[in-house]
Amino acid sequence: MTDRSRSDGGATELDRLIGWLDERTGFAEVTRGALRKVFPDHWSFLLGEVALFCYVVLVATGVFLTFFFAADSRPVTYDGPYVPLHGAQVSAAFDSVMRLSFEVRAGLLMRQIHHWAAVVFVAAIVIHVCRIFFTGAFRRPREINWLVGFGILVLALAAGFTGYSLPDDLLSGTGLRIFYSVAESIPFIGPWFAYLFFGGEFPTVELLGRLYVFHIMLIPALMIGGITVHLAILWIQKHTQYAGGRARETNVVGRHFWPGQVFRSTGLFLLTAAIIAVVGGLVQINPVWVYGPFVPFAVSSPAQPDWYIGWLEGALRLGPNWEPTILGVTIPSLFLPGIVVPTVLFGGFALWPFIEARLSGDHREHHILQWPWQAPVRLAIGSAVLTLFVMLTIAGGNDVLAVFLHVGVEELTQTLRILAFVAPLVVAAIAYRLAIERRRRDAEDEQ
Amino acid sequence: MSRPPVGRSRVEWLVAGLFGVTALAGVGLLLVYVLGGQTQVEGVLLAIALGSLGVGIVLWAQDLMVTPVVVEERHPYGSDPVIAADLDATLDEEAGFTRRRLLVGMLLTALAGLAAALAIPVLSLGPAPGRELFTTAWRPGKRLVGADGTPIRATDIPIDSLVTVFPEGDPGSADSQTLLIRVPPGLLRLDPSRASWAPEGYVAYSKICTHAGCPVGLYRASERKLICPCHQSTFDVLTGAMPVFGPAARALPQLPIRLQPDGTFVADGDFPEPVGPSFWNETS
Amino acid sequence: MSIVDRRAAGGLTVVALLGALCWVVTWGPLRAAQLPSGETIAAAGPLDQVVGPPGKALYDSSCAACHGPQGEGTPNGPALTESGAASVDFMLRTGRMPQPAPDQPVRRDRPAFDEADIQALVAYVSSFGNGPPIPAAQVNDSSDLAAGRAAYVATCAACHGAAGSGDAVGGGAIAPPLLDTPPTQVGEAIRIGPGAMPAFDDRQISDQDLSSIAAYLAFLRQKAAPGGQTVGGVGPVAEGYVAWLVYLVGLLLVTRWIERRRQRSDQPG
Repeated sequence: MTDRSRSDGGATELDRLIGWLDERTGFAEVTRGALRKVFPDHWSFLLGEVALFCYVVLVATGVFLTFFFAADSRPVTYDGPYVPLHGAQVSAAFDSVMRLSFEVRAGLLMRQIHHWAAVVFVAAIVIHVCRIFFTGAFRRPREINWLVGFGILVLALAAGFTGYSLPDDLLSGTGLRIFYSVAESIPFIGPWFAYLFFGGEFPTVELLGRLYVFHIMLIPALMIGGITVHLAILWIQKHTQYAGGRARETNVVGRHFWPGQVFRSTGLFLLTAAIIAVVGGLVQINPVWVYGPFVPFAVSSPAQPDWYIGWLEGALRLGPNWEPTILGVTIPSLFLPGIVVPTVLFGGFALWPFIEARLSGDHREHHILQWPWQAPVRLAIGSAVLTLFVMLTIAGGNDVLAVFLHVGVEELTQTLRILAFVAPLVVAAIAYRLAIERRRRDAEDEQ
Repeated sequence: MSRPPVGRSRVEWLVAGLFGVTALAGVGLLLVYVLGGQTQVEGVLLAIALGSLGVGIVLWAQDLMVTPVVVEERHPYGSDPVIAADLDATLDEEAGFTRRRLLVGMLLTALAGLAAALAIPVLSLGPAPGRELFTTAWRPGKRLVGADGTPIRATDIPIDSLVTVFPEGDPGSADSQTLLIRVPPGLLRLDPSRASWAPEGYVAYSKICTHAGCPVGLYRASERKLICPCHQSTFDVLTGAMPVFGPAARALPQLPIRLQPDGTFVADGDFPEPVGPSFWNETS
Repeated sequence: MSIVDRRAAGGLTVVALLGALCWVVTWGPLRAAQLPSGETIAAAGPLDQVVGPPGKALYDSSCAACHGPQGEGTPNGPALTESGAASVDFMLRTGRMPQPAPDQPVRRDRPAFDEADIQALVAYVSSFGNGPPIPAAQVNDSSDLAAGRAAYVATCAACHGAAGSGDAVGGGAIAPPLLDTPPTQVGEAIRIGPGAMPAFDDRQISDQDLSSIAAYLAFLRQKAAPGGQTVGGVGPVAEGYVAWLVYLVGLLLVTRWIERRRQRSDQPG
């Protein structure tokens, strides 16, 4: 901290500033405690920060974009510099995105950085969740933070979906139609709920404005609140740590927050932003001028959502064509893969800390992390669910994959239908066996 | 604890150099912007600026600072039981809050009513579906027109080709979008009650996929199969657009059409069942 | 190696890996993960007078076995009496014909004949009957790109993709990528509807629109990527792979580098 034993005997400017603030707020004691707080320093503990910094990039570029985007469905005639769209009837929203991409300096860069940051953001969350899950960091007393994190993940998916639907282009409009149909498929309340959210029968003029409200106001507000709670709980409960050295359940071994952790995290933020920036400049993403404006009777293939919705797309592609009518009530074929399967998967995901505590009978506090193989059942179940999500995501791009592999798309789809069940079981069995072996070897080494 | 100054180390020069690179890249970015901008160059320069700064700061933390490993003790999370009990007592200070059952009951009733009243505006977000999902803009006598509004003639479509059509007066209508397909006349194997709906090998189906609502835009003309790009539902044109692969469970509804003497087509009515994806009461 | 050298080496490794990442997503393997495009000989347009082996001799040796001596058809191959110059020219230039065996699916391949032979065969086979002539697809600076785009999205994009990258259409068929397809070939395919593709005559797609579509495809190839490398033009699938590549190769390595054990700075305090 500040070295007050200067040879000139006087106070520095920083001393004076701290004194001025402290007299009015009393912040010095809390801040001192904060700066000296100890954080363990494993690289896998930075994964959550990577996600956080992706979000910072999203907000920063997002604010820039809001100055140029018009969330307006009204048709206008495009007359900007992109020649193939001259004279085309487009929505004002699409027109504003075209203007941003072709007529605003650094506009396309900001748009692409924003979109790349979004797809990397969800990947970062997924890897972070995997680390939390497989090391058992969600166990008591961190169940609340798991739930908050689950909320952040769902908000991230919603933010991404609403965001890439804003330009009102042919590809994202097709995705909105599917979303409408999935909502419609819920028995009894489906059509009513779809009409409520969209403002009527698809397509509606109200939808774009509503997506905008969600994307720039409701979801970010909830997200920032959630992230704040997520970090606050982490701060209060102190970080978990791996076993080894002087680490115990009753302590935290690491380095002080200031300066080491702050500098490293700042560097991580800058490097995250740098990597996203270089991809944002060099690799094109979501070229809406190629898709053109959304027209309800036209479509382009391949037709996929962004990767983090790909698991849902894959579930819809692999889903059986069952559409029973029970007592006059039709259960649409979308309902099972589109509503039931996600509810079960995400519900199980959210409640996992409580499920595991019940199954294992372990209700104690834990601050030392497990290595993944030290909990073979959890490793097996987690690997299985992860494999299922991977299979579904791959299935979401089955037509692109079929061409890449030189196989028929129908054959590939049938194969994936089987693999979606078999692969998770196989992976679970292998993971379990490997974990048991490793645990036995570790026990032998200790003797 | 601060380090005694011993002259600049190599790392310090390296970090200073990296910060200099950041400054230069920032100036470069400004220059590119002033000169008109170019997305790839902007992205690379921005990455260099941010990345150099980041690497410099991390090197500073790793090599120029002393950040010793320290141990901090955890404290139990729960509050002192005396304090927790006092919290309970504090909440109970309005003596008998939970014992005034009439007031508590009426309070809950009041809140429920208020919640219902406040929820009402949410319902303004959307109309009730009504019968909209059961009908389109097709009516008896409506001519089939293209997206530009001009009537489609039979001679416009070569054999084994197709065109997207709409009811006259509603070109581009989302729920009325229809595929008019011409197949060799003898190949159609429609249900007998629908055979007259397809004059001389021209057959019309709704273009909205019965699975998730995407336009069924792909056509394998050699096999007379329509495919939806979204989830690969495949429909057989010759047998009434029955689904033969993929997750769709319902055939594409067929539009009854008649060929006029002047070569144009008119519809004989709306689709006999709801178009698009299924919903819970579509059989009513 | 001193700590400083290892530090610098670590930093340079990160930079090198980032550079490798840039290469991979731009000029390297990912870019090659595109849909197959066959080699073709650029179409010459309207027939020139070329002195070469008569088309009849070529036809008799390479085509008559499956299509019949007068193009009347056999159990092994369809009749060619309705083929026309466009169809013959298309099939020969894209290597779809002659086929190695009659029951194989028709696939793009290297052309079996050279320019002179193709022109001779076109002239000969198109004399069997009536069929669409080789369309004159004009692509120049006065092409109507807006009309081309509108026609392309309305008629072609569902199978061939808004970006012209192609896609599977089921039944073992693929709508091929179009960005490297010469304009005349685009026009021929539109008029004849090869393979699984429907045919569109000049009432649905006028000759003007046909040229515009070809011009639009040429534009897509050259000038529609201001955002950088297109990674195959297949949309979010490829973008998702890039995102994961970026994360796994870039960000994960960065986190590992940041938290590497240092000897001097991490002394117990």
